[in-house]
Amino acid sequence: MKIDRKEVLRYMRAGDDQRFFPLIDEVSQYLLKNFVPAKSIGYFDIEHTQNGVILSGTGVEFKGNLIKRRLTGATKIALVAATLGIRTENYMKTLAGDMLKSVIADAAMTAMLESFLDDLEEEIKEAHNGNTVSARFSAGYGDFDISSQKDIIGLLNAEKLLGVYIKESFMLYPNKSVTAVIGIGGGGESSSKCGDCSQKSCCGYKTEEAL
Amino acid sequence: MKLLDYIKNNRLYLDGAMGSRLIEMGFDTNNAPYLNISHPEALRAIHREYLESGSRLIYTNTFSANSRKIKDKKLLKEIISAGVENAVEEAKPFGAYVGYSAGPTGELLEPFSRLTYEEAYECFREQAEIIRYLPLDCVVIETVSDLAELKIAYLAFREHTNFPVFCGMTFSEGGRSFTGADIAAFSLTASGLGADAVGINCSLGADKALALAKELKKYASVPVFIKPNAGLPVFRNGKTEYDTDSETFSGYMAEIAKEGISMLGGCCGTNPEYIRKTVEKTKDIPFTVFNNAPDALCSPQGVTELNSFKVIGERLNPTGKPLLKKAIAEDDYDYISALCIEQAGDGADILDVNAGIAGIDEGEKLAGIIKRVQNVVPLPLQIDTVKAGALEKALRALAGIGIVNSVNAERESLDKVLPLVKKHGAYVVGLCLNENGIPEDAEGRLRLAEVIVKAAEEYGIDKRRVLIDPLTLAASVNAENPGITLKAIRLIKEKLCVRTVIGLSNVSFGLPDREIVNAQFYKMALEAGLDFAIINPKLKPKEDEFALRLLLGKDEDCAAYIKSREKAEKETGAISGSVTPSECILKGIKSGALEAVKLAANQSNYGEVIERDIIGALNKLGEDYEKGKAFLPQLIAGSDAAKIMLDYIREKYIPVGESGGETVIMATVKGDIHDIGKNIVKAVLSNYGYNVIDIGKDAHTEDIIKAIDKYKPSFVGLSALMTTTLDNMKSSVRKIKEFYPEIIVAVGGAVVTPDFAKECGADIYAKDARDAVSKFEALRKKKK
Repeated sequence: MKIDRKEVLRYMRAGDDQRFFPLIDEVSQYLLKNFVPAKSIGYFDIEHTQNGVILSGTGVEFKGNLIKRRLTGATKIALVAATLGIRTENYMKTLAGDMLKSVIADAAMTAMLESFLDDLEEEIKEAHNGNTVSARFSAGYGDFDISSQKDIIGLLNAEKLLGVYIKESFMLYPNKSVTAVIGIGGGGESSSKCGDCSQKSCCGYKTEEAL
Repeated sequence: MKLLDYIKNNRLYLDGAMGSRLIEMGFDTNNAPYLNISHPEALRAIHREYLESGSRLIYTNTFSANSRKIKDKKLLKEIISAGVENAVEEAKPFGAYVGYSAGPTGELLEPFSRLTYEEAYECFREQAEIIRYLPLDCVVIETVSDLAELKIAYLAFREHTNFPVFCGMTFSEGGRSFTGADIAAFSLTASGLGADAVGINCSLGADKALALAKELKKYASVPVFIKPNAGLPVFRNGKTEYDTDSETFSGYMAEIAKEGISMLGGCCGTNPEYIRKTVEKTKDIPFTVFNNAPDALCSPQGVTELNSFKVIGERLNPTGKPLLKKAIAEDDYDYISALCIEQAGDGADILDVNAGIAGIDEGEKLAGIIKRVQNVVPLPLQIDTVKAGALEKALRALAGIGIVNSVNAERESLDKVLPLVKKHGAYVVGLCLNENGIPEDAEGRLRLAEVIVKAAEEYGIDKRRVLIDPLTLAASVNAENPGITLKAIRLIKEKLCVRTVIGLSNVSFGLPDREIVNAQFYKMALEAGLDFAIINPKLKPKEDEFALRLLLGKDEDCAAYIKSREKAEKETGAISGSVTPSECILKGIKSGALEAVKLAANQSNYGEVIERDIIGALNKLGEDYEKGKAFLPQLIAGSDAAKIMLDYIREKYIPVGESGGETVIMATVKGDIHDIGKNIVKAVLSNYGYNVIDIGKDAHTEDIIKAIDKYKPSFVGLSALMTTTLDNMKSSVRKIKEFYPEIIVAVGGAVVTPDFAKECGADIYAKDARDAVSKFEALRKKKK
């Protein structure tokens, strides 16, 4: 896990203004020293249906074209919930008087959590050697409804194990938390990070590859 | 034998998991409490299995039986009563004990979320009332992750039952809970409150629990229990699998037993086999009843041992500070937190919290501040009030061990304050004064100190917890005053063997350059043996020839000192500034901002500095941003620099209430917990002179309406980041416009579009902070 300065700048939407680097480094060091991400993982056999997939043994169904495309031929999925923890919320409060540092910390925490998930995705790939594994994606992407996030949180007991709560609006609290789906087996497309996004024409976060 | 007697002489075996056993039997754990009524035989079978495997204290199946989860109060009572009966009936033939299991409310407590301390207390009080007369042996509070919630639950069961109360929390590796509570702080706090046992359960496997057990016992003055999981869970096709088998688990439990831990059991993933093997492997290992009560204070986030001199930051005290007064009155916790963080950075070990302003409920304000500050700053707090009612409210909100400032030698004060100090395990500052005032000499103050120490001991408060303040009077009033205080410090320490504390800045009252005198007096007090100083933590002990003479009583009318300061002032040349205020803003230089504004304000009038230099540069930066020459972070960096300069000018030159700015209420709408964007808008608007009242994130419409009634704003600004909260934004805007059509409502945030703004009835769509300022300013000028 690392915090890439350039990723932080991208999440900040700060162009390539390198004068922020010293402060980004300072904040990043603090984050890496003080926060340990926590995760919960589950594996589910899936049954393909007309609308999407059903998770074996749970009665939970994920619907939509995105799900169908990304999980084409997959036999299993891994569900992941990860968080930097509620202490990040307190940390942000300590920065309340310093907007620049707040913006940097917010972006750096996003970069940190994404890097943690990159590593996790890699581990899952290694553990399923020989099987194709799809790039991770999340509820709220494309037509994969955000409400599925509630099922994922429940299936992974994330409230109790990670202290991650889901609001009625399907937002996660603490803010720096994510859930993700990874398809295992099959030949589902592992598209670019932006490919399915409805905001791709007007987004300021686009990755270089997607531009 | 009573349970408390049993645990003095025996290792006590607890039970294992209830939930995962129920899942194995095919039940849905979401309905676990209801099974007490619908399937009592299943629960009794589980209790029996554990009793047969060696458990001597079994927990009732009531972990989530509370009114936050079961709304029907009558049903709740039936479920709890049945749960108790199931366990009690099974325990009888074994001569075993039954503990009432009280889990957390299941909701995050304020300030993390909306559940108030009062609602949480009510949730536990109801349970306490139900079980009060049932044949239980103790209450076990378990799996709590917020230390504040633990204290609330503890007080509810302590105040409404007569059972022993065991306190348990759940921690991750490294000894922190989800909310950031530190395991040592938990142990110290629960022991200080008078819990009958402290312990941990859940979250971690037995392998990881060993390190936590070591930390826990270091701060415990009561028996300790450890009830870990069978390793870490993995979810497969709807089933939860744990990675540690009973053989390995019990091996780790034997290691934990060797630490002297006297109560052992299991949590998620364990079953009777785990308990049986644990009993087998640990029954011959001796145990300890801990009595480690370290001399320490704590916040939820960490312990501060009182093994050396400590600085108590005095700046959170509104006396003579109009901006802080305003912040307290308006519940501006950002301002208050920033002040605390600054003091921590300057070297404070403890923070004094004072909310003494006229016309407010001091207890409410203190409690409000404590709830926020204790989660933000990892320092213990000192509650500064003379009102017993306010003190009690504040202590109930304090999660940790703090200092009460203060009690005095009057009987009434002693009898009101000391019981509260005892109940909350606090330390207390005792002032050497009584109904006759402050004794003139050091011996008189010693006598009053003795009264206080004796009274504290009568209330069962160890004299280590009493800090005596011999009081400091102004040197300018009587040249002997500093000497009396120093002599009293020496006498009190020598004769009573208690520690001393003073608020030393009073010594320089009425003198110029007070910090020079304070720094000298600080040095002398340290030499006299002072243990705690209540000061601005920026102050460091420092010699000054003339201050020394004055404090030794060798400077009549302080004349020589005053003359020395006049001379020093003349010698200080002009400050040399290398950057201008506008450069600071345009280049985002925060470090030079304060010097730049001081120089500029010296050379021209402050109004000009604001308008020409600061607002001028902010406008220029805003234009660059609009043209794409600067990005948002550059705008923010400039804004931060501007804030430093404007704060300086406002603090120094502008009386509060005369800023003349329009009031804006800002909030992130219900359901939305993102607030960075909103905070940026707030910072930028404040720089332009708007009086921004921020009511935070996840703000419900009624919160916004309440704030409008209170502050009568000209503008309301609402933010939403997610599409799922747009409906809430719409309903908030409609409600506001329905009641207050004259108020200008602005909306913004990542997902808000001009069309949506129009559709929901908002007056302004603001793309970003810069856009908001431009549009607000245009409207303001039009109004004029």
